[in-house]
Amino acid sequence: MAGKNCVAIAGDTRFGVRNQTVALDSNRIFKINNRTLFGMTGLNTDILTLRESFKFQMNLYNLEEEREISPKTFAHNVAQTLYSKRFGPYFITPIIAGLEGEDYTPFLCATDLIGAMEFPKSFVVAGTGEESLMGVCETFYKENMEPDELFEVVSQCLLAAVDRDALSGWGSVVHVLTKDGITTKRLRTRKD
Amino acid sequence: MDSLVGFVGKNYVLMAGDTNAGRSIMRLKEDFDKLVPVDSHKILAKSGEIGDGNQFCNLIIRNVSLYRINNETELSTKSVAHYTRRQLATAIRKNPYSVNLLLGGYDKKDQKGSLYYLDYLGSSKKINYGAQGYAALFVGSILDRFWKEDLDFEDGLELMKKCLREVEKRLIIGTRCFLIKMINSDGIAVVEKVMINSKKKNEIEEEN
Repeated sequence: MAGKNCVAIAGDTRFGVRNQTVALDSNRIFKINNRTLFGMTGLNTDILTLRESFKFQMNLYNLEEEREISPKTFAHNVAQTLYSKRFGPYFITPIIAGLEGEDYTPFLCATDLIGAMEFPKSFVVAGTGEESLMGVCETFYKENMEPDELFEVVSQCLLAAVDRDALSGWGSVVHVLTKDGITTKRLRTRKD
Repeated sequence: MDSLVGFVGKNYVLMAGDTNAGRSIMRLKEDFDKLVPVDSHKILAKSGEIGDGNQFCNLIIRNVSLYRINNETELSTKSVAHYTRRQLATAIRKNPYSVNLLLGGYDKKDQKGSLYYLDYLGSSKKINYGAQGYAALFVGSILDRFWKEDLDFEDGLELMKKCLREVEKRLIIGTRCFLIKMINSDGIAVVEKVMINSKKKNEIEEEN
Protein backbone atom coordinates (compact mmCIF):
# COMPACT_ATOMS: atom_id res chain seq x y z
CA MET A 1 0.00 0.00 0.00
CA ALA A 2 1.17 3.55 -0.73
CA GLY A 3 1.17 6.48 1.64
CA LYS A 4 2.68 9.95 1.63
CA ASN A 5 6.27 9.39 0.48
CA CYS A 6 6.19 5.93 1.99
CA VAL A 7 5.09 2.42 1.04
CA ALA A 8 4.39 -0.68 3.08
CA ILE A 9 4.39 -4.37 2.23
CA ALA A 10 2.90 -6.97 4.55
CA GLY A 11 2.79 -10.71 4.16
CA ASP A 12 2.06 -13.82 6.16
CA THR A 13 4.80 -16.28 7.07
CA ARG A 14 3.17 -19.67 6.62
CA PHE A 15 4.85 -22.29 4.50
CA GLY A 16 2.50 -25.15 3.77
CA VAL A 17 1.75 -27.92 1.35
CA ARG A 18 -1.93 -27.72 0.51
CA ASN A 19 -3.65 -28.10 3.90
CA GLN A 20 -0.56 -29.14 5.89
CA THR A 21 1.58 -26.46 7.55
CA VAL A 22 5.29 -27.14 7.40
CA ALA A 23 6.90 -23.98 8.78
CA LEU A 24 5.80 -20.74 10.40
CA ASP A 25 8.68 -18.44 9.62
CA SER A 26 9.12 -18.34 5.89
CA ASN A 27 10.01 -14.92 4.54
CA ARG A 28 8.60 -13.97 1.17
CA ILE A 29 9.37 -10.25 1.14
CA PHE A 30 12.85 -9.25 0.09
CA LYS A 31 14.76 -6.00 0.09
CA ILE A 32 16.26 -5.27 -3.29
CA ASN A 33 17.87 -1.98 -2.28
CA ASN A 34 17.06 0.96 -0.01
CA ARG A 35 14.32 2.08 -2.37
CA THR A 36 12.68 -1.19 -3.40
CA LEU A 37 10.89 -4.03 -1.68
CA PHE A 38 9.85 -7.14 -3.54
CA GLY A 39 7.31 -9.70 -2.34
CA MET A 40 6.17 -12.93 -3.95
CA THR A 41 3.41 -15.44 -3.27
CA GLY A 42 2.90 -18.82 -4.86
CA LEU A 43 5.01 -21.93 -5.28
CA ASN A 44 7.84 -21.93 -2.75
CA THR A 45 10.38 -23.45 -5.11
CA ASP A 46 9.80 -20.72 -7.70
CA ILE A 47 9.96 -18.03 -5.00
CA LEU A 48 13.38 -19.31 -3.94
CA THR A 49 14.65 -19.75 -7.51
CA LEU A 50 13.53 -16.26 -8.53
CA ARG A 51 14.91 -14.73 -5.35
CA GLU A 52 18.33 -16.12 -6.21
CA SER A 53 17.95 -15.10 -9.88
CA PHE A 54 17.05 -11.49 -9.03
CA LYS A 55 19.76 -11.24 -6.39
CA PHE A 56 22.26 -12.31 -9.04
CA GLN A 57 20.86 -9.88 -11.62
CA MET A 58 20.83 -6.99 -9.17
CA ASN A 59 24.40 -7.65 -8.06
CA LEU A 60 25.45 -7.58 -11.71
CA TYR A 61 23.42 -4.41 -12.32
CA ASN A 62 25.08 -2.69 -9.36
CA LEU A 63 28.53 -3.63 -10.60
CA GLU A 64 27.89 -2.64 -14.21
CA GLU A 65 25.85 0.54 -13.69
CA GLU A 66 27.51 1.61 -10.43
CA ARG A 67 24.17 2.73 -9.06
CA GLU A 68 21.08 1.29 -7.43
CA ILE A 69 18.22 0.13 -9.62
CA SER A 70 15.03 2.16 -9.55
CA PRO A 71 11.78 0.37 -8.57
CA LYS A 72 10.23 0.98 -11.99
CA THR A 73 13.17 -0.57 -13.83
CA PHE A 74 13.20 -3.50 -11.44
CA ALA A 75 9.48 -4.08 -12.02
CA HIS A 76 10.06 -4.20 -15.75
CA ASN A 77 12.93 -6.64 -15.18
CA VAL A 78 10.61 -8.89 -13.17
CA ALA A 79 7.98 -8.79 -15.89
CA GLN A 80 10.52 -9.65 -18.57
CA THR A 81 11.90 -12.55 -16.53
CA LEU A 82 8.41 -13.96 -16.02
CA TYR A 83 7.39 -13.56 -19.66
CA SER A 84 10.55 -15.31 -20.81
CA LYS A 85 8.88 -18.43 -19.36
CA ARG A 86 5.56 -17.71 -21.06
CA PHE A 87 4.89 -21.36 -21.96
CA GLY A 88 6.22 -22.94 -18.79
CA PRO A 89 5.71 -20.20 -16.21
CA TYR A 90 6.92 -19.62 -12.71
CA PHE A 91 3.86 -20.02 -10.49
CA ILE A 92 4.20 -16.85 -8.50
CA THR A 93 2.45 -13.49 -8.10
CA PRO A 94 4.99 -10.75 -7.42
CA ILE A 95 4.49 -7.34 -5.88
CA ILE A 96 7.01 -4.54 -6.15
CA ALA A 97 6.82 -1.52 -3.83
CA GLY A 98 9.29 1.31 -3.80
CA LEU A 99 10.04 4.99 -3.67
CA GLU A 100 10.83 6.48 -7.04
CA GLY A 101 12.96 9.48 -7.88
CA GLU A 102 14.26 12.48 -6.00
CA ASP A 103 10.95 13.23 -4.29
CA TYR A 104 10.43 9.65 -3.09
CA THR A 105 7.16 9.18 -4.95
CA PRO A 106 5.51 5.90 -3.95
CA PHE A 107 5.62 3.26 -6.66
CA LEU A 108 3.53 0.09 -6.67
CA CYS A 109 3.43 -2.67 -9.23
CA ALA A 110 1.77 -6.06 -9.37
CA THR A 111 2.10 -8.60 -12.14
CA ASP A 112 0.52 -11.95 -12.87
CA LEU A 113 2.50 -15.13 -13.33
CA ILE A 114 3.52 -14.26 -16.88
CA GLY A 115 4.46 -10.66 -16.30
CA ALA A 116 1.42 -8.51 -17.13
CA MET A 117 2.07 -5.35 -15.12
CA GLU A 118 -0.30 -2.93 -13.47
CA PHE A 119 0.71 0.25 -11.64
CA PRO A 120 -2.05 1.28 -9.25
CA LYS A 121 -1.65 4.33 -7.08
CA SER A 122 -3.27 2.98 -3.95
CA PHE A 123 -2.59 -0.67 -3.11
CA VAL A 124 -1.77 -4.06 -4.62
CA VAL A 125 -2.67 -7.49 -3.32
CA ALA A 126 -1.61 -11.04 -4.10
CA GLY A 127 -1.97 -14.54 -2.78
CA THR A 128 -4.59 -17.08 -1.82
CA GLY A 129 -6.45 -14.45 0.16
CA GLU A 130 -6.33 -11.77 -2.50
CA GLU A 131 -10.10 -11.29 -2.78
CA SER A 132 -10.42 -10.73 0.95
CA LEU A 133 -7.42 -8.42 0.88
CA MET A 134 -8.87 -6.44 -2.02
CA GLY A 135 -12.10 -5.82 -0.18
CA VAL A 136 -10.62 -4.77 3.11
CA CYS A 137 -7.89 -2.61 1.54
CA GLU A 138 -10.50 -0.80 -0.55
CA THR A 139 -12.41 0.00 2.61
CA PHE A 140 -9.55 1.21 4.76
CA TYR A 141 -7.31 2.92 2.23
CA LYS A 142 -7.11 6.67 2.14
CA GLU A 143 -4.71 8.97 0.35
CA ASN A 144 -1.59 10.53 1.80
CA MET A 145 -1.22 8.46 4.94
CA GLU A 146 1.79 9.08 7.13
CA PRO A 147 4.04 6.06 7.88
CA ASP A 148 2.52 5.30 11.31
CA GLU A 149 -1.01 5.36 10.00
CA LEU A 150 0.02 3.38 6.92
CA PHE A 151 1.51 0.70 9.17
CA GLU A 152 -1.74 0.45 11.15
CA VAL A 153 -3.91 0.24 8.06
CA VAL A 154 -1.73 -2.35 6.33
CA SER A 155 -1.53 -4.49 9.47
CA GLN A 156 -5.27 -4.44 10.04
CA CYS A 157 -5.97 -5.24 6.41
CA LEU A 158 -3.63 -8.23 6.44
CA LEU A 159 -4.90 -9.54 9.77
CA ALA A 160 -8.51 -9.30 8.66
CA ALA A 161 -7.89 -11.00 5.33
CA VAL A 162 -5.77 -13.89 6.58
CA ASP A 163 -8.35 -14.74 9.21
CA ARG A 164 -10.76 -15.49 6.42
CA ASP A 165 -8.37 -17.54 4.31
CA ALA A 166 -7.58 -21.07 5.42
CA LEU A 167 -4.22 -21.23 3.69
CA SER A 168 -2.83 -17.93 5.02
CA GLY A 169 -1.78 -16.84 8.44
CA TRP A 170 0.42 -18.36 11.13
CA GLY A 171 2.32 -15.13 11.67
CA SER A 172 2.95 -12.06 9.58
CA VAL A 173 5.58 -9.45 8.90
CA VAL A 174 5.09 -5.82 7.88
CA HIS A 175 7.77 -3.64 6.25
CA VAL A 176 7.32 0.12 6.00
CA LEU A 177 9.68 1.88 3.59
CA THR A 178 10.31 5.59 3.96
CA LYS A 179 13.17 7.78 2.85
CA ASP A 180 14.80 7.19 6.23
CA GLY A 181 14.83 3.41 5.83
CA ILE A 182 12.84 0.26 6.36
CA THR A 183 10.99 -0.56 9.59
CA THR A 184 10.06 -4.19 10.05
CA LYS A 185 7.56 -5.49 12.57
CA ARG A 186 6.17 -8.94 13.17
CA LEU A 187 2.53 -9.39 14.08
CA ARG A 188 0.83 -12.24 15.81
CA THR A 189 -2.07 -13.68 13.90
CA ARG A 190 -4.42 -16.50 14.69
CA LYS A 191 -2.60 -19.80 14.59
CA ASP A 192 -5.11 -21.73 12.56
CA MET B 1 4.23 -44.67 2.60
CA ASP B 2 7.61 -43.58 3.88
CA SER B 3 7.84 -41.91 7.24
CA LEU B 4 10.70 -39.64 8.15
CA VAL B 5 10.90 -37.63 11.36
CA GLY B 6 13.62 -35.27 12.51
CA PHE B 7 14.32 -32.56 15.02
CA VAL B 8 17.16 -30.48 16.38
CA GLY B 9 18.25 -30.77 20.00
CA LYS B 10 21.05 -29.43 22.16
CA ASN B 11 24.14 -29.91 19.97
CA TYR B 12 22.64 -32.82 18.08
CA VAL B 13 20.12 -33.66 15.40
CA LEU B 14 17.94 -36.73 15.79
CA MET B 15 16.45 -38.36 12.72
CA ALA B 16 14.36 -41.46 12.25
CA GLY B 17 12.94 -43.27 9.29
CA ASP B 18 10.91 -46.39 8.83
CA THR B 19 12.78 -49.35 7.36
CA ASN B 20 10.19 -50.52 4.87
CA ALA B 21 10.89 -50.47 1.18
CA GLY B 22 7.78 -51.08 -0.82
CA ARG B 23 6.11 -50.66 -4.13
CA SER B 24 2.34 -50.28 -4.30
CA ILE B 25 0.86 -52.92 -1.98
CA MET B 26 3.99 -55.01 -1.68
CA ARG B 27 6.69 -54.76 0.99
CA LEU B 28 9.93 -55.49 -0.80
CA LYS B 29 12.39 -55.11 2.05
CA GLU B 30 12.03 -54.73 5.78
CA ASP B 31 15.50 -53.46 6.67
CA PHE B 32 15.96 -50.61 4.23
CA ASP B 33 18.06 -47.73 5.51
CA LYS B 34 16.61 -44.43 4.35
CA LEU B 35 19.02 -42.22 6.26
CA VAL B 36 22.08 -41.99 4.01
CA PRO B 37 25.22 -40.17 5.16
CA VAL B 38 26.29 -37.31 2.90
CA ASP B 39 29.55 -36.86 4.72
CA SER B 40 30.74 -37.44 8.24
CA HIS B 41 28.27 -34.98 9.78
CA LYS B 42 25.25 -34.88 7.52
CA ILE B 43 22.37 -37.22 6.79
CA LEU B 44 20.01 -37.09 3.84
CA ALA B 45 16.78 -38.89 4.72
CA LYS B 46 14.97 -39.87 1.55
CA SER B 47 11.37 -40.75 0.86
CA GLY B 48 9.43 -41.40 -2.28
CA GLU B 49 10.37 -43.40 -5.34
CA ILE B 50 13.18 -45.82 -4.40
CA GLY B 51 15.12 -45.55 -7.66
CA ASP B 52 14.92 -41.76 -7.79
CA GLY B 53 15.98 -41.62 -4.15
CA ASN B 54 19.04 -43.75 -4.80
CA GLN B 55 20.11 -41.86 -7.93
CA PHE B 56 19.49 -38.40 -6.54
CA CYS B 57 21.17 -39.05 -3.21
CA ASN B 58 24.16 -40.54 -5.02
CA LEU B 59 24.35 -37.38 -7.15
CA ILE B 60 24.39 -35.16 -4.06
CA ILE B 61 26.84 -37.30 -2.08
CA ARG B 62 29.32 -37.56 -4.91
CA ASN B 63 29.19 -33.85 -5.73
CA VAL B 64 29.72 -32.95 -2.09
CA SER B 65 32.71 -35.32 -2.11
CA LEU B 66 34.03 -33.68 -5.25
CA TYR B 67 33.78 -30.26 -3.65
CA ARG B 68 35.74 -31.52 -0.67
CA ILE B 69 38.42 -33.00 -2.90
CA ASN B 70 38.70 -29.88 -5.05
CA ASN B 71 38.57 -27.30 -2.29
CA GLU B 72 39.97 -29.16 0.74
CA THR B 73 37.07 -28.01 2.85
CA GLU B 74 33.77 -29.45 4.06
CA LEU B 75 30.52 -27.84 3.01
CA SER B 76 28.17 -26.54 5.68
CA THR B 77 24.67 -28.01 6.05
CA LYS B 78 23.19 -24.80 4.69
CA SER B 79 25.30 -25.04 1.55
CA VAL B 80 24.40 -28.68 0.97
CA ALA B 81 20.72 -27.82 1.40
CA HIS B 82 21.06 -24.97 -1.03
CA TYR B 83 22.85 -27.16 -3.58
CA THR B 84 20.31 -29.98 -3.20
CA ARG B 85 17.43 -27.53 -3.61
CA ARG B 86 18.96 -26.13 -6.78
CA GLN B 87 19.35 -29.64 -8.25
CA LEU B 88 15.72 -30.43 -7.46
CA ALA B 89 14.46 -27.09 -8.80
CA THR B 90 16.26 -27.43 -12.14
CA ALA B 91 15.16 -31.05 -12.45
CA ILE B 92 11.46 -30.49 -11.77
CA ARG B 93 10.76 -28.99 -15.18
CA LYS B 94 13.00 -31.37 -17.09
CA ASN B 95 13.36 -34.80 -15.49
CA PRO B 96 11.76 -34.67 -12.06
CA TYR B 97 13.06 -36.70 -9.15
CA SER B 98 10.17 -37.90 -6.97
CA VAL B 99 12.02 -37.62 -3.70
CA ASN B 100 11.14 -35.72 -0.58
CA LEU B 101 14.07 -35.22 1.76
CA LEU B 102 15.04 -34.20 5.23
CA LEU B 103 18.62 -33.01 5.45
CA GLY B 104 20.09 -32.97 8.94
CA GLY B 105 23.60 -31.89 9.76
CA TYR B 106 25.91 -30.71 12.50
CA ASP B 107 28.27 -27.81 11.76
CA LYS B 108 31.45 -27.76 13.84
CA LYS B 109 31.93 -24.08 13.03
CA ASP B 110 28.66 -22.94 14.63
CA GLN B 111 28.50 -25.92 17.00
CA LYS B 112 24.86 -26.40 16.22
CA GLY B 113 22.70 -28.85 14.40
CA SER B 114 20.29 -27.86 11.66
CA LEU B 115 17.50 -29.54 9.78
CA TYR B 116 16.15 -28.74 6.33
CA TYR B 117 12.89 -29.78 4.72
CA LEU B 118 13.28 -30.29 0.95
CA ASP B 119 10.59 -31.52 -1.34
CA TYR B 120 10.50 -32.82 -4.88
CA LEU B 121 9.58 -29.45 -6.38
CA GLY B 122 12.64 -27.77 -4.94
CA SER B 123 11.06 -26.09 -1.93
CA SER B 124 13.44 -25.73 0.94
CA LYS B 125 12.96 -24.57 4.49
CA LYS B 126 15.13 -24.62 7.57
CA ILE B 127 13.07 -26.13 10.36
CA ASN B 128 13.56 -27.07 14.00
CA TYR B 129 11.40 -30.16 13.73
CA GLY B 130 9.44 -31.80 10.98
CA ALA B 131 8.51 -34.91 9.11
CA GLN B 132 7.94 -36.18 5.61
CA GLY B 133 5.21 -38.44 4.35
CA TYR B 134 2.05 -39.49 6.12
CA ALA B 135 3.93 -39.37 9.41
CA ALA B 136 3.92 -35.58 9.15
CA LEU B 137 0.15 -35.52 9.66
CA PHE B 138 0.44 -37.33 12.98
CA VAL B 139 3.77 -36.22 14.27
CA GLY B 140 3.45 -32.50 13.45
CA SER B 141 1.15 -31.75 16.33
CA ILE B 142 3.09 -33.93 18.80
CA LEU B 143 6.27 -32.04 17.99
CA ASP B 144 4.43 -28.69 18.16
CA ARG B 145 3.37 -29.57 21.67
CA PHE B 146 6.46 -31.23 23.12
CA TRP B 147 9.51 -29.95 21.24
CA LYS B 148 11.53 -27.31 23.07
CA GLU B 149 14.69 -25.49 22.25
CA ASP B 150 17.82 -27.34 23.47
CA LEU B 151 16.36 -30.71 24.43
CA ASP B 152 18.76 -33.11 26.13
CA PHE B 153 19.53 -36.31 24.33
CA GLU B 154 17.46 -38.51 26.69
CA ASP B 155 14.43 -36.21 26.41
CA GLY B 156 14.91 -36.03 22.67
CA LEU B 157 15.00 -39.78 22.30
CA GLU B 158 11.88 -40.08 24.44
CA LEU B 159 10.13 -37.53 22.21
CA MET B 160 11.22 -39.38 19.09
CA LYS B 161 9.84 -42.65 20.44
CA LYS B 162 6.59 -40.90 21.29
CA CYS B 163 6.33 -39.79 17.67
CA LEU B 164 7.19 -43.22 16.28
CA ARG B 165 4.71 -44.91 18.62
CA GLU B 166 1.99 -42.68 17.22
CA VAL B 167 2.99 -43.45 13.63
CA GLU B 168 2.93 -47.18 14.28
CA LYS B 169 -0.39 -47.05 16.08
CA ARG B 170 -2.38 -44.80 13.75
CA LEU B 171 -0.93 -45.13 10.27
CA ILE B 172 -2.96 -47.83 8.59
CA ILE B 173 -0.03 -48.97 6.47
CA GLY B 174 2.09 -51.22 8.67
CA THR B 175 5.34 -49.59 9.69
CA ARG B 176 6.61 -51.37 12.76
CA CYS B 177 10.31 -51.00 12.43
CA PHE B 178 12.19 -47.70 12.62
CA LEU B 179 15.82 -46.72 12.54
CA ILE B 180 16.92 -43.77 14.67
CA LYS B 181 20.18 -41.97 13.94
CA MET B 182 21.85 -39.08 15.65
CA ILE B 183 24.35 -36.50 14.41
CA ASN B 184 26.49 -34.60 16.88
CA SER B 185 30.01 -33.25 17.05
CA ASP B 186 31.43 -36.78 16.88
CA GLY B 187 29.56 -37.58 13.70
CA ILE B 188 26.75 -39.91 12.78
CA ALA B 189 25.69 -42.69 15.13
CA VAL B 190 22.93 -45.24 14.90
CA VAL B 191 21.04 -44.81 18.13
CA GLU B 192 18.55 -47.61 17.97
CA LYS B 193 16.68 -49.84 15.65
CA VAL B 194 13.28 -50.04 17.28
CA MET B 195 10.40 -52.32 16.65
CA ILE B 196 7.12 -51.00 17.94
CA ASN B 197 4.06 -53.11 18.57
CA SER B 198 1.31 -51.12 20.18
CA LYS B 199 -0.73 -54.21 20.94
CA LYS B 200 1.89 -55.71 23.22
CA LYS B 201 2.31 -54.50 26.76
CA ASN B 202 6.03 -53.83 26.36
CA GLU B 203 5.42 -51.98 23.19
CA ILE B 204 8.91 -50.99 22.22
CA GLU B 205 11.59 -53.61 21.76
CA GLU B 206 15.08 -52.68 20.92
CA GLU B 207 16.41 -54.78 18.11
CA ASN B 208 20.14 -55.09 17.77
